[in-house]
This record gives sequence, structure tokens and C-alpha cells, in this order.
Amino acid sequence: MSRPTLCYPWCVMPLADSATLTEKLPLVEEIVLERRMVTRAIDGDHAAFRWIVDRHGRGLFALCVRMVGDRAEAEDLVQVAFARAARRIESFDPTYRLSTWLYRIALNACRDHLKSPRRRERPGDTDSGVLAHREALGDRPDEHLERREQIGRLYAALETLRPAYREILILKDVEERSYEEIRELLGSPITALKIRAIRARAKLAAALEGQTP
Amino acid sequence: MKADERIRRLLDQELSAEDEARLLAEAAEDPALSAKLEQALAMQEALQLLRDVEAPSASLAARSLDAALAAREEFSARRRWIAWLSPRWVRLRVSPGLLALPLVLGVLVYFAGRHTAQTTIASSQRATTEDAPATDAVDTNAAGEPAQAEAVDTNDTEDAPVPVRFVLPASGARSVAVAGAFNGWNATSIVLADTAGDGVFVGTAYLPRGDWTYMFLVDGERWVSDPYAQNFRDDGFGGRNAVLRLN
Repeated sequence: MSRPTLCYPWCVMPLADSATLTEKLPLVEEIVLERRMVTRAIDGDHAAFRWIVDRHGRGLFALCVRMVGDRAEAEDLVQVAFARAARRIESFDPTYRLSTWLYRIALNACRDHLKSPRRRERPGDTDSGVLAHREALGDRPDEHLERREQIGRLYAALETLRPAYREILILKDVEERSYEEIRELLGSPITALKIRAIRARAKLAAALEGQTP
Repeated sequence: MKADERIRRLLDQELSAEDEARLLAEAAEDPALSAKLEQALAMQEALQLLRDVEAPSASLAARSLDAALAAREEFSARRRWIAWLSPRWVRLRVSPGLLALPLVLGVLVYFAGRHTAQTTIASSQRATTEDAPATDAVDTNAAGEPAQAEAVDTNDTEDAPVPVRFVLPASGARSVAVAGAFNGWNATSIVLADTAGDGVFVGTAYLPRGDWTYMFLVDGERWVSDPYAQNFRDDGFGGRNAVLRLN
């Protein structure tokens, strides 16, 4: 059976045009390694799958926690995302980074989960989500309590938003990605993403204001 | 430009220093814009609290790997089945000479089989009169239908008795027996039966090898010679006994 060729010349690699050659070289090595691992994974090499999971597992987990606000659910979604990626790894488009492809799969898994009737009936455990950000809580007890409440309120407000609004807020305001990167992840035009960002921020502000006693 | 778009640009750091200063100056004079701006900045700052996420549980990597490998295995198995079941084009290049070979072999095997089958069926009986009882033996049986006696199998050893199947179509007859030199012309030891009820009497007897004269006794009173026996012998009383040759 023929196998998709993943050996593209480095000039078509997903590199920023502004980067100099010196800046590009480590990235080129990284991308070449990624492609080699994907090729090996297609051949059924377990070590290659382990490399992919080790390299991207934590990033996907962070994304899923922010999306669903629940640690346990996020861990389940990471597994779902890796299972989906393994099933369709032949369809990986080497003009994108592997992380972009995996993030896209994880976002789809989160979206499916948030839209599922079971999840709508029983929202995630935001306390568990708050504990995923232990470092942000600070050391001082009063600060700790205040931030804990703040994160809890934030997750409760995010829970009321549509997944599309939640995505743009997390990708833009939390992960501070560029609109170009978000376009690659979500597949929407940049103008639409900017409009969505304005609406999502307004919705979140309204949801937070609605919580204020 | 609308206020919302200017605030978005401020949050996304797309405003030039001059535009940012102008926006802040306008906000200082417009309480509604100021409130909106403060709310947006506070919200963005709050979202920064979600930046750092603790590491997942230690077993997540192993569980994720297991899930990936299981999914991959399931997918590969399904793909193998699909590949196995999906139709495909096959190109065959056949030499006409090679195509004729199995045909010729088939014809040879068919005729060889027919010849073997013919030789395994023994020929039947023939007649001559030898100590035959004085009867009004005739060439046809009571019904005027052909009768026959056949050795069923001649592949036995020299001394073994040969099974012989006697058949006499005799519609309307009540009984048919075979009497001959092989049973001392005893008309009760070999009795044929009309098992199918169609008037054809059939029976099998095991006889030693040799030439044997015989007759059919119909209804215990009428002697009938086997009309289709190939050999006959005069019985000395004007009639003909059939002769069965078992070599």
C-alpha cells in the first residue's frame, strides 16, 4: 500500500517569512524530526507514538482544561484527541506543524464534548479546574482565596459562552496567539475571528458582570 | 471607527502609540467609554490567571499512548478487512497452448473413467441345457419383457463367491424363483421379489465361479428361460436352458 510522502523541502515548511536562516535552522530540525516521527507512526512504530504523546500531551491537556474547566474531563479529552490523531495520522498535512494539527483535533474533541447533551445536563467541576491553576493562586492566604474565587467565577462565566467564543478567548487572550495562528487552528478568516473576539469579550464581560453580587 | 473595534485593537496591541493615547484621552472625558475600557482590560487581566496550568496526572501519558495504539490497531484491522473485501482488477496473461492442456486432460480422464466403469460391470449369463427339467421353456418370459442375470462385481478373488443379480420382469406373476445347476435345481432357495411393485422381480445370489445352466420358475409351475441370455443349451426335452458363465 502506498504511503503519503512527508518529505517536503524545507522551503515549504511552515516557517515565518520574517525569520532569518539562523532562526529557522533549529525549527527546520524540529520539523524534520516531527515528519520522521509521523512517518514512523504511520508504519506502526510505538516509539514514535510515545514521542508524539510526550511532546504534545501537556500542551493539549492545558488547552482542554481551559476549554472545559475540569481536570478529569480534560484528561479524558486528551486521550480522545490522541486516539483520533492515531486513527487518521495518514491525513496529517505536512505544510502545518504537528502541534497545530493535534490542537485542531483536541479543539474538535472539546467542542463535541461541550455540545453533548450529557455535558449540558451536568456541567464540569469548576473547583477541579481551579486547582489546575494552583500556581496562579499565589502564596498569601488572602490573595489565594481571592484568586481562587476569581478563577472559579471566570470558569463559571466561560461555561455560559458558546464553544466558539470560549475558543477565541482562550486562544487569543490566554494563550496570546496571533490571529494568523488562530486562523490555522480554527480555519476561519481573520476578519471573522476579530469580530468573534469582540463579541466573545462582550459576552464574557456581561457574564462576569451578571455574577457580581 | 467604532469604540468596540478600537478597544479590541488596544487589547490585541494593534493600536499605534498615538491612537492608544488618543483613545485613553477620549476615555478620560467619556465615562461610558472609560467604563467599557476598564472592564475589557480587567477581563483580559483576569484571563491571564488561566495561563499557567499544572501538569496532568502522571499516568496521563501512558493512558494517552494506550488509547492511541488501541485506536491505531483497530483502524489498521478495519483497513485490512476493507482492502481484503474491496474489488480489484486482475490482469491475466494466458497462453492458448496452456489453456488447451487442462481441456485435453479433462477429456482423457472422462473417457478413462467411462472405460473403467464398463469393465467393472460383469456380463451376464448364457445358457445351455444341462440337467434341465422338462418344461415348455420359451424365449420370452410371461410378460414378454426382457429378463437378465448379472454378476455385480468381478473383482473378487478366485475362490470367493460372485454376487449375481437376477432380474425378471413378469407383470401379474405371484412368485418368481431361480433354479439351476448351482442350487441343484431347487426352486425354493433363490426367490426373487417385486419390491417396487412394478412387476419386476429382483434378487441377488452368491454363486461359485463356473458355467451354470438355470431357469426362472414363475408361480411355481411355469419354467421360463432368460430371454436375453447370450448363451443357451438344449435341455434334451426340446427346451433351452440359459447359461451363466462366471469366470
